[in-house]
Amino acid sequence: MTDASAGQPEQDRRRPRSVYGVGTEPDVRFSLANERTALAWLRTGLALVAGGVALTTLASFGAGNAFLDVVAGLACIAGGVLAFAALSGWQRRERALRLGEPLPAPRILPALVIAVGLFALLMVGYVIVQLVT
Amino acid sequence: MTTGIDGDPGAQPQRTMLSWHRTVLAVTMGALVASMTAQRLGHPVLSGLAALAAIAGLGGALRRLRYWQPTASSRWSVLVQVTVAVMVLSVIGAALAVANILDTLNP
Repeated sequence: MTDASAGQPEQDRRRPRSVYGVGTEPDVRFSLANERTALAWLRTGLALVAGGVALTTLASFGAGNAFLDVVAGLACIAGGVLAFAALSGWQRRERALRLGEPLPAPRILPALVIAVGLFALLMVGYVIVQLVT
Repeated sequence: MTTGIDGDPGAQPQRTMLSWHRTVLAVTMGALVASMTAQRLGHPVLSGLAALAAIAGLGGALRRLRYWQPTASSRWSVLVQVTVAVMVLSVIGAALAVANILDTLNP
C-alpha cells in the first residue's frame, strides 16, 4: 500500500477542505508529528486552565480575594485561546506540509511567553504586597 | 529505503495514539477538578455542567478514537471535539472566577 493509493480515494471526503483540498499527500509520519504538536499545544492550554481553576480554589480560602480571581479568570481565558491556536496552527502546518512549503512560525508562541511571564509577575507582585501589608 | 509507516522504526501511530489518550485523560481530569471546585464554592449548577461535560467528552472522544487511523477522515472531527472541550473548560473556569468575584463583592 503506497501513500498515493491510500490518499487518493479519501481525499474528497476529508475535512477541512482548506487543508485537504490543496497539494499532495505528505509522508504520513510528518502528519502524525503535526498532530502530536497540536495535542501538545492543547495540553499547554489545559495547564493554564487548570492553573486558573486551582487559583480560584486558593482564592476561596478565607474571605475571598478578587485580585486572585481576576488573575485566575485571565489564565482560564488564555488557556481557551491557546486551544483555538492549537487547532488553527495544525491547519497552517498541515497545509504547508501538503504544499511542500517551509513550516510557518508558531504565531501563538510569543503570546504564550508574554502571558506566562505576566502571570508570574502578577503572582510575584501579589506575594510582595501580601508580605508588606 | 521505504518511507511512510511501512519503513518507520519510530512507532509513530502508537506514539500519536498515546498522545491522544494523554490529552483526553488530561481534559477529563481537568473537567472533574473544575467540577469539584465548583462544588466547593457552592455552585452546584456549574459543578453538574462540568461533570456532565467530562463524562460526555470522555465517552465521545474514546468512541471516535476507535476509528482513528493515520489517514482516516475522522482526525479533524476528533481534534475539533477535544479543542472545543478545552475551550468549554476554559469558559467554565472563567465563570467560576467571575462567580467567586461576585460572591466576594456581595457576601
